Amino acid sequence: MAATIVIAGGIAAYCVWILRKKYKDAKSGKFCSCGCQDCPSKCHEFSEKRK
Amino acid sequence: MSTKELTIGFVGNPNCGKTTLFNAYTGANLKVANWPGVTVEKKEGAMRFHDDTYKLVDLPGTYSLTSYTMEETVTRQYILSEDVDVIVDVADASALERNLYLTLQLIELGKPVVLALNMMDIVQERGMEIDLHRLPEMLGIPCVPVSARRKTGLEILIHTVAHHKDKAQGEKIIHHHDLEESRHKDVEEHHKRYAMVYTDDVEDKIDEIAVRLKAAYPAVGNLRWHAIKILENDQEIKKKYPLDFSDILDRDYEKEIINQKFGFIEEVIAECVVNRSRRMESTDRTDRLMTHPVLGLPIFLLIMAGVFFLTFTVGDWLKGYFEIALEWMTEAVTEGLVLAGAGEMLISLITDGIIAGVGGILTFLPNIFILFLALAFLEDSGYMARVAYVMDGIMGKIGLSGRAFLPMLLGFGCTVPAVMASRVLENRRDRMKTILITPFMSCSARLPVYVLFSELFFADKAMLAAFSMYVLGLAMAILSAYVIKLTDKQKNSNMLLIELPEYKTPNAHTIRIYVWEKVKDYLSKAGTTIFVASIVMWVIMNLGMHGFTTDMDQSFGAAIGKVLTPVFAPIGLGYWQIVLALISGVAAKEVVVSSCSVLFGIGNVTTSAGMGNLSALLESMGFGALNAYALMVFCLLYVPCMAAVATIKKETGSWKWTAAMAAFQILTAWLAAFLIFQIGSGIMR
Repeated sequence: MAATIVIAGGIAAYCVWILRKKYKDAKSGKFCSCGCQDCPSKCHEFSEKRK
Repeated sequence: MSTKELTIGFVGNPNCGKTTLFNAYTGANLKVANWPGVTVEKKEGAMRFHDDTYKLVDLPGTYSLTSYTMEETVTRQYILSEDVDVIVDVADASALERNLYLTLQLIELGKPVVLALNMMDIVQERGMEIDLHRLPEMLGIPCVPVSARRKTGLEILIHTVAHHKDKAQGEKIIHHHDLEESRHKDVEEHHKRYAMVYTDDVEDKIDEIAVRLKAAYPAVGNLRWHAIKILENDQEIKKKYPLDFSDILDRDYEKEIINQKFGFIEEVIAECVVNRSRRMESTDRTDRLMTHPVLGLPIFLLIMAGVFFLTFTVGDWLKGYFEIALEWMTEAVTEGLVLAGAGEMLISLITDGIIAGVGGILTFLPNIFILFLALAFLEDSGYMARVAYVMDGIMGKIGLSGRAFLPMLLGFGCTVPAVMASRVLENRRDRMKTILITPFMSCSARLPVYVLFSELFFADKAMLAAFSMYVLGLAMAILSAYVIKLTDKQKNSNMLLIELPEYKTPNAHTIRIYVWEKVKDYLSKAGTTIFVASIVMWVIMNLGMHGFTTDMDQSFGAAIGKVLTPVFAPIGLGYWQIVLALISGVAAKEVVVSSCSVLFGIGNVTTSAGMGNLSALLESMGFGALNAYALMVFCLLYVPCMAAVATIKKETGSWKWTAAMAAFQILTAWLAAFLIFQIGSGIMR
């Protein structure tokens, strides 16, 4: 039972983290996983602002 | 320690290696490609030189400072702003005559300019030579030979930038004009101060405009540049300084100024470049075949067929190992969970939901890897720009320029950057049209769907079935644009202006970056979007009105799917499981495959055993090869993933447009699948 709670809790927490991240990304104009460096979105601007 | 910050703007023609140079300095991994228009928005980075911090800005490529396209506007506005301290004009040294026009315009701006003669490795390979003593003399700015690809000359370039930051013009410029022939009163002064001195009548006009401008706007900086722009009839500058110059502008001077600049460039080239004729010979020979008016298109289709042959053969061979690993992992995790005392529901969630969904998608990684590796080779070799040229005729007939084909080519990778790349198009109408048809290009996320269903139902014709999706996507994009053209009353004359880069051996570093980014993106999507989608799918398939259920027919998922089944029945997809899989595919197209595992209750549907079970199950439901083909067609053409839809909204700036586009794509997908299924059924009867 304990194992079930721990593992299910971990999965639930990870899902919440993903959804929260996706929501925050979408709000800042990032709609995908931002893996494409050729994408002209702001995802990869690593300017001083980001530092 | 000093904290001085210098802002350096990287400017140059498209495809001259700005981004490669930027990456070399900043350690960034921005995408570079051997075709023009890769950078459509400025990117910033930072580097340390001695004790100082330098801000580097990679600007979109531009041929001139007279802005016509969106990326040219971005570059011009930034250079004109006060933000940039030094301009590094990156020029392709192997095609110097084409690059020097922008250089002359940048020098006229009056800001400190350093000319980076990039691609010196190619210059040397061709046996060409550049007189590095005479060139800076003629231009009046420092000229530094570099090779961004081989990372040579970088230290000297940045050192020159650091020393040149306060010098807007060279101290002494040796110019081509014969001073004795000139009647202009300030000619000697002009020749001392400016690299480009025009003929006397043009110089007179420049002086007259400058005097009038100075009188009305005493604070205006760089009078000469502003005067030249007004003489060129630059609308932006004329709007900014609304004075009446009609008495001075007695005729069109723009062409004359351009011609005189090119005249000077010819002189520079004649004096500074040796063995120029050797250049381009091999490229010209190859292009006679690759851009042949008749053979060009079949060659492109043949090359793409080769790409998919590799994706299937080599990719599938590697996929086999991933499948073994997936089976082993499923067994190990199940045993581990049982030993840990986990509940039956949790074990089902992890093995039938998460591992089957995410793991199933990961087994396609080799196919994705091979696809992008091949595309990276084609891009970096310089071939992709030829495809736009080859397609120009067809694109012209559908009311678009060959330039619109560049975003469409990007669509083979991912729809998101492809939609954004439509910014390279000059007018909004063309951009909207391109955005509408780009999602029809088959993105890499659809590949797992094709691989799974074509291997299930088409055996030795699997590769052909999958390749036909790419051709069909291209054909649908062209057909849609043609239909729009017929209904569009506004006719545009679309001329393709594209620089065909030299063919070159693909660079290992560029390819590594390109492929790694795509693989990383795929892994990231599997670990996030597909992870959550698999859980959601498992939940709706295992929960019903009476709580947890092992009978999927009683689940919430089945209830949702059954409502929509009648709509999909005419296209051969009237199965609630398939309907649900297609709906889930809106999150990401790969989810269609991961959902099949959960929906049909088959663990690891992508392994040989899983595929055997799925095939038997589908056939028992009456789902055959024709249904599978209709499914692949629907999957190809229907609404793209959520990320792409959000990008379309961002780029069009309208929810109405976005909704209309989504509706158009769903309708097109339904109609295409309907025709294929109904005609196919008729033939098979």
